[in-house]
Amino acid sequence: MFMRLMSIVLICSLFAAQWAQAEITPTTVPAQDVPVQVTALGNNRYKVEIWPHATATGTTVILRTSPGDSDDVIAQVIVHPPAEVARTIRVRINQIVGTLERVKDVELIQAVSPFAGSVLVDRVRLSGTLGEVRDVTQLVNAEVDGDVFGPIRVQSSETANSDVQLSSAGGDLLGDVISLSYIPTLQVEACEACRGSSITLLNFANGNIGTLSDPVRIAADLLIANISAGELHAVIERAMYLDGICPFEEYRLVQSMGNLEVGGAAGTGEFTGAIWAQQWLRDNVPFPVQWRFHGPMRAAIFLKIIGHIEPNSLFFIEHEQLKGQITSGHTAGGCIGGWWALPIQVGSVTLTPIDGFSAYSNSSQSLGGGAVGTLPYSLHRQDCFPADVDPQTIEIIAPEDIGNTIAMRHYGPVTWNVANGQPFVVSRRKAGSSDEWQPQSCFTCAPHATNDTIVNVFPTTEGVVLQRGFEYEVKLRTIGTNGPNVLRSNLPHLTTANDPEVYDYAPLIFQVCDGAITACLGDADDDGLVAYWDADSVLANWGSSACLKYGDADRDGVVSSPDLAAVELYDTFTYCHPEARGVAPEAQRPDAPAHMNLAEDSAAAVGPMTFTQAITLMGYADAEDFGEAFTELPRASRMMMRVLLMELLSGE
Amino acid sequence: MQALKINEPRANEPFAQAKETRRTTLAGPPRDSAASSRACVRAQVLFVIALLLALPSAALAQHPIPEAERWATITHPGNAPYSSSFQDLGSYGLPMGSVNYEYQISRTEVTAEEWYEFVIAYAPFVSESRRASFEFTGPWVSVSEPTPGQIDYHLSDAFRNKPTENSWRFAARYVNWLHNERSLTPEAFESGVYETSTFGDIPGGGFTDQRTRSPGATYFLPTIDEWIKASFFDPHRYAMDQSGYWEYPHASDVPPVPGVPGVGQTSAGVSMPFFHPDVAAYSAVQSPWGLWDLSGGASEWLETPLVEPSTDIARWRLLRGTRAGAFDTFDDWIPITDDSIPRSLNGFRIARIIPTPGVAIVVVPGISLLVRRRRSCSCGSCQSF
Repeated sequence: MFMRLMSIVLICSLFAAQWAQAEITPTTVPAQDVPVQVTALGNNRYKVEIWPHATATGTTVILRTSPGDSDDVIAQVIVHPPAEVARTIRVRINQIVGTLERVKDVELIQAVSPFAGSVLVDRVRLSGTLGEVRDVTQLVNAEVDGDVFGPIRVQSSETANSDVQLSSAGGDLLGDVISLSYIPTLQVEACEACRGSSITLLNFANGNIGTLSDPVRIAADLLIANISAGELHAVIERAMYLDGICPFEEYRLVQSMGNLEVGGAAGTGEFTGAIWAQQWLRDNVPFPVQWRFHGPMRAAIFLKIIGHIEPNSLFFIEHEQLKGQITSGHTAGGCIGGWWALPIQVGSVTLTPIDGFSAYSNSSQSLGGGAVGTLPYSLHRQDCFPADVDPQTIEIIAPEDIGNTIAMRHYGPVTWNVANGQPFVVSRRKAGSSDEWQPQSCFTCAPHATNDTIVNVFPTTEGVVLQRGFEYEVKLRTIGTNGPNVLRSNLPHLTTANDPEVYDYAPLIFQVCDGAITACLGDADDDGLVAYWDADSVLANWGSSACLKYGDADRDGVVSSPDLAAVELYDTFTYCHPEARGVAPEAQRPDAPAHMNLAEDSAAAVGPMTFTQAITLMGYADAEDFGEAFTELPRASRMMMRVLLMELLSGE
Repeated sequence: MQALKINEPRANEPFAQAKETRRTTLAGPPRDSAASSRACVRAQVLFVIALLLALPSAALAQHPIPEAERWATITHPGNAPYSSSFQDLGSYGLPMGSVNYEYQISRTEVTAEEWYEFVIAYAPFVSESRRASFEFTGPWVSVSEPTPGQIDYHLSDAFRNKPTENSWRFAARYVNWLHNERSLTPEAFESGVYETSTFGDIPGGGFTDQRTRSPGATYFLPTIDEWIKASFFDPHRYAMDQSGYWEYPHASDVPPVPGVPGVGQTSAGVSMPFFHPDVAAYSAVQSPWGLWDLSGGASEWLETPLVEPSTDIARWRLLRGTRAGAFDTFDDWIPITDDSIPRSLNGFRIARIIPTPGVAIVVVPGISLLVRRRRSCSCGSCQSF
């Protein structure tokens, strides 16, 4: 009883106090005795506290400055709604009657919870800046000339959804905007008593949202729509979600995303950060969703699409401005994902999924450097190096173009745990053959320096290149015999261990050859020419099992006598032999040695000899006989044998 | 384009019906009761939405109002202004609603289809930086870039009758275009009613845009007075020839009831994502002059600027009417006027001078009967009043 009396005395005294403060003028609609206390804090700063009656019919309090007090700052607006009554309390901060004079800054607006009703802060007009807004139900129709520092945190009540509608004439949004749902019990599925949360307008088209170094969080559960910014540096996601190990975290997705425009008046503003959103669409329901990126789109977008979407209605990214990653979900790891079900426009390029998967052939460069991928990410074959332009044929790359690095580019970022070993196995075999693949152990892998969708695959030994005449296979490596792939789709919110493995795609296969000449038999030293010195390459690598070994003139994976025979057979002093493709050999080079076996009398020639002539002179019956003897020679003797043979072959 | 003259609302209406309307007004629920009824309206919303979802989009393609009936003629020049002890925007808000001439105003907000025609017409001339912006296209027209540098515009059938929302400056170009008889010259968009060469921003706030229409303008954005009169003024407010203003724009002194079409009276206060009914979807909910969607739909741009008296700098344009999804219908109350920076996106309806002889004007006396067939909902049932 005593407490009640004290409360009444307090309220009465507060009501009386409002009239003592002329600088901030409260008005109630309809006019009645809603207690409002205005306390001067000095330096044109004021604190306003509002105690709406539980029984009052009037629910609107309008705060204005007095004429000539345009420097006034409302340091705090504290609303004490009656806890037991589900009533809407409306607070407005308007310009003064008859002028455009407005309160300059508001530092804090807060509703003291818990309460059953709703505190609606609407029609806020400030000539300066807005600070923190805490625990009101809605902050709507708020226009500020300057910056919004935030954080803005609204919370659904038992009777109303929360919402934020906030604009600035020219300032920036520098703090988080969080709109929370009302959920009576700990659950995340829809419930009758739950109240959703939304953010339906953040218009900072003449300014920016967030900064590159300090992005803001924009979060609501039900809907986020009509975001407009010059630059947008933000993570846009569901306000209340549970961390988990699902690769495509269901609960992180905002239920619906409306329009979004980034670029500002100049059309150059960029977007960094992320969007986690779901679009649940139904046929015949008008659902205008357009995300327009006029400047560089560097963000990561995680999008779950369910149902039908109007053509052209979601993405519009200006020419070559897709520099980030758009990811659409797919069933993976037991978690429910979505499909990529809509074309995405990047300038004049329209990216279209096939059966819900990424399968576009456009190069990343033509898009701006970014990618659109479905989970689990697959290989963007046409954008690898060497490119697999036509899946029906094996691509051929010229030796002068291959270098020593293979670039495996995917439709999304990938990663792997080094403890599980290399993500790829590289093998080779004779080009154009169906021989068994010979794994090459000397390859290693490294992430691309600036593009995390690319894994570079290259020999560990510097200077070693992918030799011609071979067919190469780059295949995903598994953990154990039938385990998961080492390579994983890299999702930023998950640890590598929880990242889903990449799609189990077919190996990348290509040939390194001179044009139509496939196997290049006899060219043991990979110089593009079959000549007597290839025999030296064979001898130099005799018996070697080294990775990417030279000397394998017959491309059978072993450096042995048949390689000597191959050199002998194909030594026409022309470029590689066209065995596999049946193409006529190129003309003999004019500088061919006199012994070349194109001449009928070459065997009798004096001076440079053929290989057969040389080993016969040395006392061996044939290449096999020579090979057996060479194998048994000690290392020093082998060197002497090589020197002798080269002198005979060259005639020098 | 032919015009519908809705002359002297309720002039042909039986007086008994007018009495019934007043009685309903007096017996109607107070403002808070309307708010409390939202809870039961919500329960009906899901069912009605389910029905709406079944509608084929093709059925939504045609403008709901025949072209000949899209204009209301606002008569009774020299009507008294509305005034109130409650001042919202001071000298810009009150008194208001007095207009000393007859004019016409569109009965619906400008639709996406009407705007789409403008977009296609203006596309060759619009600045490169704005050609793909929402300011220009509004939320319903989408864009694509079939070849580098070429922007194409698209409008789905399902969106044709939604109220468009654009910046004030593009709305001004739209009326320029109408004033110039939809000519396809660049000048047709840039002058005539509002000289776009005057459009500019003042550092520190405010704009240099032409404040009021040019003399001789045939189409224009309505002023606050023109809008208020067309929305709230009723020449027979209290009885035959006893004029006055209603408190709310559906010829009532109680707020419209939020709800989906067929259940409620306005899309304002309906808390559903992406709830955007077509224009005139609440067919029985009209102003005394036959205007639809004054509550709900889109907030509407007015011509009237807010000018700082001490500096004479215009900084905002006035807005009237709540939009779909607004928290409630509080802002539908007659003394409350809103404002916004010209670059924000809002809907609008257009006004024009009464066409000169030679343009047929169709008088449909029965329209006032239509105006009076409003419906309201109470929990579990709906009733006409």
